[in-house]
Amino acid sequence: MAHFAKIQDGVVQDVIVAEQDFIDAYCEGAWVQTSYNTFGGVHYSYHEVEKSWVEDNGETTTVTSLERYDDSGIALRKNYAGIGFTYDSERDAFYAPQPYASWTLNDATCLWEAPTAYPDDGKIYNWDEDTTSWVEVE
Amino acid sequence: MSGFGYNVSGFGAFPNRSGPYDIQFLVVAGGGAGGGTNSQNYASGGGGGAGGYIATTASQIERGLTFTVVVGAGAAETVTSYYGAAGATSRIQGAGLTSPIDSSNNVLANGGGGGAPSESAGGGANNGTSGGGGGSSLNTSTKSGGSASGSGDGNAGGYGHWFNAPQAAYNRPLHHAGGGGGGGAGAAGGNCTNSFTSTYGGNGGAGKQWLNSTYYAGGGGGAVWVNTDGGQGSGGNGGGGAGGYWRNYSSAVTVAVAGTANTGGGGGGAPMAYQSSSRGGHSGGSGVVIVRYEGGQIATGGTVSSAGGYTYHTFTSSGNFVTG
Repeated sequence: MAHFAKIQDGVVQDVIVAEQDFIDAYCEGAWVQTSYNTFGGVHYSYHEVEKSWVEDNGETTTVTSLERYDDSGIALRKNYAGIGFTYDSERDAFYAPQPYASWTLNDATCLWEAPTAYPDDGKIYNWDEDTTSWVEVE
Repeated sequence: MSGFGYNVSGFGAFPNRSGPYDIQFLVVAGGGAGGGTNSQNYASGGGGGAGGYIATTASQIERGLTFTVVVGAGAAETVTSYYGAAGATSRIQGAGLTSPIDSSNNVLANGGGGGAPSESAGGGANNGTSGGGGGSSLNTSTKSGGSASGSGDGNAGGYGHWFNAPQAAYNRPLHHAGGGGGGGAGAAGGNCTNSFTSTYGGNGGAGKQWLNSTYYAGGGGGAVWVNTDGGQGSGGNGGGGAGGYWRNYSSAVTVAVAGTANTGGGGGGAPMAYQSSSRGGHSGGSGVVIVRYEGGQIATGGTVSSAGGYTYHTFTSSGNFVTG
């Protein structure tokens, strides 16, 4: 099944499940194909994995979870289109609205990124746009 | 009588081979996506609302008519801190359809609303037929789920909540965060439940069972972030995806689950956006349109099947239903 996004003034208005011949015959306006399983410039599939952890009482809990992996498929237009997303014809890519004014678009993934990376120290942080920095949550 | 089992004048409602006949149909829109987690912090997104659900009948439809069927897509996966996107509308259009129709002869169901991210209520602009669940809140207040609006059956999302207390029994602060469940066609999304020792994300609202005995349009489950006991909200019966689960201090995480394709189910909310394996709230399931009538096949379009004396035309992709 293919998916197509209706574009008006560079913004996604609608996304439907259809084939190209239906779009050509019945759909007015500009429609651009989009890929459901594409995110951040990668085409994904899913498989089941088991995850385990030790509870406070010492017992181990195991659950089955879905985990996605890069299936090397065609990552059409970087991201699956959502209503309200931008379609950038120069990049030929879909991307979500900008979350903060200071965040910039990664050209490779068409995902928004903070000016500084999330700290990798195991602590928990919020983004503070006023200071454009990560602020630790106490 | 001309033909055994069919065209028997006065026998049930089997279509006469030459006259108009009744059709029953189901229109389900795309489900909303689960909410992300605000500012990529430790919190939980609400589940996505189910796509709108319309089950109705059109009487004495003439033969030789073409109905245009459009199947709405499920909403895109949420990127980090955002509200989940809304699902897209599904519709069937053509002459002879009756209530509920719009001015263009559409029987149209609106997409489900997106779940709210943490720190946010579900009443955002993305609300669709079923409301998305509310996100958890960093200031301990409850964040309500989105209300139901739009065309098609749908219900409100449940509320999300964040719980925080210094805790002597554990050698760490006690934080819990649960998102609300997305609304389903048959029931509202569940609320996050939390206490001093546990938190559970709200379950997605149940969908509705159509004439083929299958449930459609279940809401997505709310995510949960815990460092003690708890669990994510389950997806509502009818294709809703479960919320994600993040267990702090043990790095245990299960990702949010997408709404099932061709059900209009809402996607699960995200637990912990900066975690690369969880990212944002998951996608909504695409919608579906199904037409059925009594007796053998006399129309074309979609995937054709039969059961219980009825012929079904199932559209998982847009196309035309042509009465024969």
